[in-house]
Amino acid sequence: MSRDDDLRDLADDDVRALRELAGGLPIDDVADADASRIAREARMHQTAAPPLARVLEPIAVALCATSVMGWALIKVLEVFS
Amino acid sequence: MEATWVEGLRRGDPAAFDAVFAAYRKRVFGYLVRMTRRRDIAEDLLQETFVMVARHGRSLRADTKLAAWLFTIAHRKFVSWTRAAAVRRQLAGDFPEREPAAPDRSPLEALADSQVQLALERAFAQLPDTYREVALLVGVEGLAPAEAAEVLGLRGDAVRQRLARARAHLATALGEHAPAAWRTR
Repeated sequence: MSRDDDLRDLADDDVRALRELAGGLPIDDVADADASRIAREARMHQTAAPPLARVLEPIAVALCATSVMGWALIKVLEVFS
Repeated sequence: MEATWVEGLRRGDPAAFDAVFAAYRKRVFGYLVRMTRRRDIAEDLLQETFVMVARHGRSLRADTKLAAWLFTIAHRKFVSWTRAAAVRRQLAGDFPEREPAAPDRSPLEALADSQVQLALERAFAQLPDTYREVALLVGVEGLAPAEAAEVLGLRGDAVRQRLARARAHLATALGEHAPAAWRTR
């Protein structure tokens, strides 16, 4: 059995024993009033839709890049025509 | 259920945020209390964690595992707090500290209603941070070692090694309360 296998078996045993042990740990929670405040303040950062700038910016960049490449292509074709 | 919540977060649905907060607040708070050993700091970090959930919910992948994602954020918040506290201590120099250092005792010791529970809480509190975080994520939160590795940014074998060392520390600290299998090793 390799060292990795040893470690994996050890870890499986440790995981089982740790979970059994942890079942006996006391459980704590934030007070309901504090939890409501925390949720309310955090929820204020949730955006309902992506900001318009995040949608328009890539479209503008794509349009710009396409027109520059088109212009460059026309110039190259002019040289060879 | 989890897939529905992830879908809701991706849509920016406040009801999905509330459901995730209700389902996970106790677990994330418990992890943060045991890592910081301070309830006030744990409450602040809990809020910061859920602010990140609200901000970045839209960019979640549909197959995101919520528990692993939440504990990744909470872990990063804890690491940032630890670093900031170390800098503050260094800057304070000889001046008396304005912020009390984390005590050795866990605030959860007061909640223990038996000697075994108290011994267990103390044993976890005495673990070095690097072993405690692995023991909490895998033992208490039920994450698979591979998920814990992802949360902590470690390799799988590093997590398994830390688990084995956490077990050794806990076995010593628990003495007669340690599981029988651990006492025979």
